[in-house]
Amino acid sequence: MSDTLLDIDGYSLDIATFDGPLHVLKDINLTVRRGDTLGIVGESGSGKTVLVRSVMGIGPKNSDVKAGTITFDGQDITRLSDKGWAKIRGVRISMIFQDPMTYLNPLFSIGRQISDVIAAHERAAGEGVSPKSARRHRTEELLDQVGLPNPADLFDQYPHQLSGGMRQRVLIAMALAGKPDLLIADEPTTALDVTVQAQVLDLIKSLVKKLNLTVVMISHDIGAIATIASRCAVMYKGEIVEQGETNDILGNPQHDYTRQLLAAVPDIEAKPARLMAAEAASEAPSKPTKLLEGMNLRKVYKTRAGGEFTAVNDISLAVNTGEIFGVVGESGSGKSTLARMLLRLVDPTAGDIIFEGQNISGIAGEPLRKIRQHMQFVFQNPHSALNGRHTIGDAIGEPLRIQRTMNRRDINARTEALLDIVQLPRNFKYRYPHELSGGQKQRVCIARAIALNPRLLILDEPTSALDISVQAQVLDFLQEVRKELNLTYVFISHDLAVIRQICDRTIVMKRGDIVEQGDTEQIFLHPAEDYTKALIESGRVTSRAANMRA
Amino acid sequence: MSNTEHPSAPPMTFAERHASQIRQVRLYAHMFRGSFSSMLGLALVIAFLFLAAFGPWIVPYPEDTLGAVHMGSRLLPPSAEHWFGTDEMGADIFSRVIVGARTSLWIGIVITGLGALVGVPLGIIAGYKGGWVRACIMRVTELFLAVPGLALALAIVASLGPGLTNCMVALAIVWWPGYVRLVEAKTLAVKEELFVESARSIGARTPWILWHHILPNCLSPIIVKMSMDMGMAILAAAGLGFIGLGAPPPAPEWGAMVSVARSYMPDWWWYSFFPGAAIFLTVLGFNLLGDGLRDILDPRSHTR
Repeated sequence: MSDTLLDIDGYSLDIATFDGPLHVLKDINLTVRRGDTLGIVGESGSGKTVLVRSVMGIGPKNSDVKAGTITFDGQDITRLSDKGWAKIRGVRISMIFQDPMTYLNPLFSIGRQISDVIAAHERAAGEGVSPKSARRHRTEELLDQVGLPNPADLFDQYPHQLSGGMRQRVLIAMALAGKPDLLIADEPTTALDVTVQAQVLDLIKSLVKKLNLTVVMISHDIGAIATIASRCAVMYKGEIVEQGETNDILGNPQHDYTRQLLAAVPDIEAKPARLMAAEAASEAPSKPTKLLEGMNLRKVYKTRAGGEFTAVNDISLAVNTGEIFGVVGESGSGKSTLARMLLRLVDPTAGDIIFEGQNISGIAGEPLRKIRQHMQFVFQNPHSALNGRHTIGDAIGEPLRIQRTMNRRDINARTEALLDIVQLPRNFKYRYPHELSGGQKQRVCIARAIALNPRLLILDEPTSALDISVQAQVLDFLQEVRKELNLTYVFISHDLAVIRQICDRTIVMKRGDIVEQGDTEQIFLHPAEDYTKALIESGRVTSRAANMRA
Repeated sequence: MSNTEHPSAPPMTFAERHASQIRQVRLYAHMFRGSFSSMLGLALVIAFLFLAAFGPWIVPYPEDTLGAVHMGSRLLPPSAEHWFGTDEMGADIFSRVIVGARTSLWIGIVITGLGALVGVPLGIIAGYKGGWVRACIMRVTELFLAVPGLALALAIVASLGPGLTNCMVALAIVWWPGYVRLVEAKTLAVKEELFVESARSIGARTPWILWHHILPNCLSPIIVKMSMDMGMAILAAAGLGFIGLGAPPPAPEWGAMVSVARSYMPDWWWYSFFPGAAIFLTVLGFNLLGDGLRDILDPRSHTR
């Protein structure tokens, strides 16, 4: 028993809300032994974050432990006092958080923040704080350990000078400062770009080996779990539905939910269904007509310092009527700026946009408003794209009311029809956005976008804020709507598996430039650029893990 | 959920359609009730509103509020007959204080109402438009904010001549810049929200966006500030009344009453004490109410 580090036994937690208690965790049983790597998989709202935060003693307010205990290294920490926590939190258990930007203080240098943590640990351990130079030495050692180049220079740099991946490394270094027995990682790679994700995962993996760490990692990304964790647990609605060896669970899932979850991950290797359908039909494709063209588009932002930042650099593209046009790239590659420029939400610095033969790059006012009826935008984050003070009915009816061509009753009827199209119950029109789930909200956003019968829909990462199983539903649904309403899509994503499944033609963007473009299948089967290859490879990790049993 | 299969389902009742609003109101009520100071503020404000509404009909000596003189009963101490005593004209102070609530309420509503009416649109326009429009509006606002409010009001009343209307006009003139500041800051934050861009992408005009998207999201701080300002405006008006620039005697105005009573201190303490206490309790009530409203309307203090 001595090698059991963390033991959660029959743990149940309620959160008191105005509507009565919410059973957030139900009868959780988990055991982590020294040297174990445990992954916890689950969708948002499954309670995985609450669980690990409870282990750290930073659970939500108004929470109430109903039953069970958490034992850490033989000590019951279920209801520890703040004083008791001081010896454990950050010292023996540390945590890496999801968003590396918000967890670093922008006003202090990297080195200072880490040496402060070291000093705090020394104080907590009651050893007296070591001199500044010793702490600096230790900090540089830690920075080196997490694979950051030039620790000596980095010591005096500030968080904003670092990239997302580097910041996450700094946070890992900080978490390691107290030489913890247990490291908790809460979605450590979610906020990072796909190619950086792989590097950070590799780092965690190597640290586990080198320092003999015990790790509990939460993720919704099955690929990440498969890379790191030897054992894994699947959480669903506050319960652990399945746990065991990672390979067993991924290769031979027992619970229905796990099976659904694995099936929902798009398979990057699978030949897209649309191609098979096209081959079966084998009709001669009619000559494609260009719906939207961008010519030599450029967007340059002026920075505060007086310099210039080129977000989009001289991009030309043509979208044919009826196709799904993919745009792939990491954050900062300029794909969102490009999308907003096509819709004239952002004015291009140079270049022309031609929609149905009409140059719309110079128009403004009323003609622009008229054109916007025909091209609509679906935003990445449905949670903030809806005004929290409007009901769903108001939100969907808003474009109709703005056009002022319909009376109240017609608008009401059309709103209900739109709710039918996006497969939501009609009584949702009285609800408010905060009462809906992410997938439902995205459907509302889509209903809003198609309310005016547009010809073109620009979808900016429409599924990246959603859970995997919901993502699959929304993608299917988007395909259906497209067929039904004869739409053309510009589909922006960083997820190559998704792009491969649905897009006809694709451009790959990097730092404002197109690095590769052409037929989607061609790009996947014969990527010409290293960058494209790296993107595809990182997509494979997840896909392979989820499709182990196939 | 069954509605999708049966499009001809019976129409929903009012309670069903507005279930979420009803829940929201109940949640607010629940949070508000939990705080003693908020409830105290609400009680004080309700008492004040009640007296302002029905004052003239419930006071024991209505004629005293209009300037009746009873030289035989001057400066009597508080008793069963005259709860708050009488003043130098023999008028019942209790009656005058209660009827004074009506003047104060009127002052508070007019000043905060005018202030918000001018300040909120200017603030929204400044925040949303930006550029030189914002620069112009904000510089003028800062000009007003740079001069101490009461001193400026004093100068304005002095040039217009004393009187209740001029007093309110002067205070409204110094009151609106606060709203511009508040609303401008809030608008700057709200206009970056995705739903504003989303509204633009479906072809909404600027006035539509301001009215349907920006204003509703600025409303909570405006409501809180208006509640707080009711108290402050009443206090400021009483201040002007105290130095003789408000309602002319014998109108029952709290500030003017305290001003006259000054020369009767400390022997005839009740004369200044009760109007003073009325000012104090009213301002306290509106401030506590404003605090309570901020606690329930500010999303950052929500713990659901």
